[in-house]
Amino acid sequence: MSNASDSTAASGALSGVRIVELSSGVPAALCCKILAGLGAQVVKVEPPGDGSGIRRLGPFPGDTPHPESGVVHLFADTSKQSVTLDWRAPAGADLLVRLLEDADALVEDVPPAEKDAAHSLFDRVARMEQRLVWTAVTPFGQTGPYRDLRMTDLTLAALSGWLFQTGEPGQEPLKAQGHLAEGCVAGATAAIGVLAALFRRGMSGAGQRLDVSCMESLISANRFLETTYAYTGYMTSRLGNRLPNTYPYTIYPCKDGHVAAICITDAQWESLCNMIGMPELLDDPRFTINRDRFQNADALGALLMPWFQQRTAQECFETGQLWRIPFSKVNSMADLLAMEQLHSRGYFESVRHPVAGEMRYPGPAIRFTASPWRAASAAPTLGQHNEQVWCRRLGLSRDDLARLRRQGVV
Amino acid sequence: MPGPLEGVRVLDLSTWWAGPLGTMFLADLGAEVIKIEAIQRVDSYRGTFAGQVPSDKPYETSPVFNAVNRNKRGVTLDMASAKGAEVFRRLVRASDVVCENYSARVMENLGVEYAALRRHNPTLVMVSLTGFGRSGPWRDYVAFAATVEALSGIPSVTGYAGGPPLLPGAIMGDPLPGLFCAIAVLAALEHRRRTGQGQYVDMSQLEPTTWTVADALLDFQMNRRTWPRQGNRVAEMAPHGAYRCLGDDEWVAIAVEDDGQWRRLCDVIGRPELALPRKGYADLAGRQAHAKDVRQDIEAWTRQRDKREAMRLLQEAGVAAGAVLNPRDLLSDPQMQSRGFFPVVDRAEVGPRPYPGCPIKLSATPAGIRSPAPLLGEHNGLALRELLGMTRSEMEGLARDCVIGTAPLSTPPAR
Repeated sequence: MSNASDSTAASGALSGVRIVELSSGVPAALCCKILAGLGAQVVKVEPPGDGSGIRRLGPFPGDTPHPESGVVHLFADTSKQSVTLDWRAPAGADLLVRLLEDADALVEDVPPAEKDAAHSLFDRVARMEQRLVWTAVTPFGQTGPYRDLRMTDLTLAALSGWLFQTGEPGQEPLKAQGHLAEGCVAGATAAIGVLAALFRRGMSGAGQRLDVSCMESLISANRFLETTYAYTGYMTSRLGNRLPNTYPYTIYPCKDGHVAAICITDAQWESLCNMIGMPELLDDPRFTINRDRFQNADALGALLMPWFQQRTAQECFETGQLWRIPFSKVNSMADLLAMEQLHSRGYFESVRHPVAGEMRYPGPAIRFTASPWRAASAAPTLGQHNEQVWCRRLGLSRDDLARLRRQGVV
Repeated sequence: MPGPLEGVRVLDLSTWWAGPLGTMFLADLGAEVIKIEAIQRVDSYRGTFAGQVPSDKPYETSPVFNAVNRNKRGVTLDMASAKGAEVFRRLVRASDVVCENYSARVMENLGVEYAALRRHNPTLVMVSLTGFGRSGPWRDYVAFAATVEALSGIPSVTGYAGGPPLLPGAIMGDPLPGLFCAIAVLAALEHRRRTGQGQYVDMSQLEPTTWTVADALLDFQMNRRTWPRQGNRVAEMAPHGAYRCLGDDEWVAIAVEDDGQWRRLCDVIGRPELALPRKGYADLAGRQAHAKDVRQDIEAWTRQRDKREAMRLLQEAGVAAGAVLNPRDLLSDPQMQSRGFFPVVDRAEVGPRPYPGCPIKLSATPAGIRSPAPLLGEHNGLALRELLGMTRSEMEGLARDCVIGTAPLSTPPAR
């Protein structure tokens, strides 16, 4: 059920919306990737020289760092335009204001202290509030004692309560691998804000300012453990491959790999016992409800595991699903790329990049029938759209641009 | 002040966490979200951590259910009955959006699939959120968060060096699709605002979840490399991990981004000699090659310090450090308090409790918590009278037939 045949306007929901992205980090970049996927025209403003900070995140082809081919940039900056601008220089600030006067929304992650230092510029931006949707996506928000702390995805995950929960009891708390998980959650949260404000602006004509805290975004998306603690005094810690009060919700080794063995509802528990030919477990008082099964997880695990060990991951998965138990295989990246379900939905997008080459990228996270997700175009090279944006869109002459280049502003 | 989505009405059939988190954001932003359950089958999330606050209605005491459903209206409706399905279709006529996470088969059997509902409301926006999407060979497969996490490959790259694959404790497979569900609704509303056209949106839990491993996936294609599980180690930074502090299971996370930060860290821990070239740690490669020694040197200092004190001293030196906070720490965290992020909301059956607020602050049309999660069927009268003009006797008839009600006929298992 991809694109419906009855769609009359095959353009994205945000087609025609002009967004300026002034970012160095992952959350703001992913927020704008989503907005670009929805059809917005995103111009990413990067510092001349090194470009945006996310260009420094690897890995890189052949492990040779290159500002055009870091995987985080390649993925997070698809379907955008790139211009270079030193907005801290007076001529650059003027140019940024001109760009914003021609835009609907600004998404930025400029550290609040730097905005204070450049207040004459941001005062001018604030005067556009009547029509501009101005969203700041920063680690801790625009206020509070942590506002100016130095932050990476690891330390943000620590402060947001994510790290505390991943890993084995007593051992080092772990972060999800790579540099994207935190940014996906914070970036999607910010995109919700931008969309809501653009929707309101569409009805009232008025813009506004948004303050999105990545720390708060991560807490919001995390099982409500603080509220649970306040209700029950229960403090969940790291449980390895277990979830409180639920079992099995774990990973078992099987003949040729690993299987996620997930069983949450009573109906699934009943199916599981019947499926493995051990209906007597249903009458075992140690395993009556989820809490019992969790408390006796080691004993139950020992009873269940042989079934998995005698089968391949594919067999475990298919048999579980036949019984409507949400088992799955633990996929590698190779397995993921080969998944028939994703291919049948045309999920992966082939993107050809001039430096990094052609690869298949995770594709549309949402399937619209009337306002389709835009097919990804490759992340722009640094300053690739300088002439297009500064000259053709804002009307600078070639001489102006050459002069700005000499001054190091562009 | 009204939120930006003031005037938008959403019928929410979704249960558990993912769909309700999406509609939580819509409700926080001012949409009128009507959560529909049936007394025959209430939302199973009501069983999670339920029954630990004294109440004779344990199904009203789940902290997670009450957190994710704040700001919503609560209506019960037995959709499996012909009368219930009819009431639902009438509600659809008066609404803008339907969100649901049933299987395709269930919606068709109930006669409330998009094609049917569209006849009642031609500009309806409807979002279906399933494990694998509404097409493809797996369209009817069942999924919980960990099902799609395992398939996306997250556990294959998460875990200790040499250890087994590990599910992320910070779950991805529900909340991330939930956020994208809110994005889907907002984008479709914007499209409808511009064109007058409603639409059907097909969402899976699996597809958004794979975004979180895009870097591993591109590296696999680019360098033919399968990431080993390697704890907190990353290529670009060292040290990069969590270090034991004073106390039981207390830690501080430290990420050293460059050699200058390493020098400053060495000064803070009183070991400036560790930054000298002869020690072999002065550059990234050296620190990665001697990761065990580096950890020992750092922990000799952190073990004697409170995690927040260690964070403060390192931050003052310009080193990215963050205490590994637990739920209790977060409730009293100075940043959260300063931003009022855990407002205390009074709710029947559970009393005043803190809930996470809205992480999006808007200057003109604010978001936030305006009302607690509804009790089961609390707004039956309001919704059916206000929206459908039902009479008292009509509603009494529905209650007699158990189409609506305020007490569950079976309670979800506590977990």
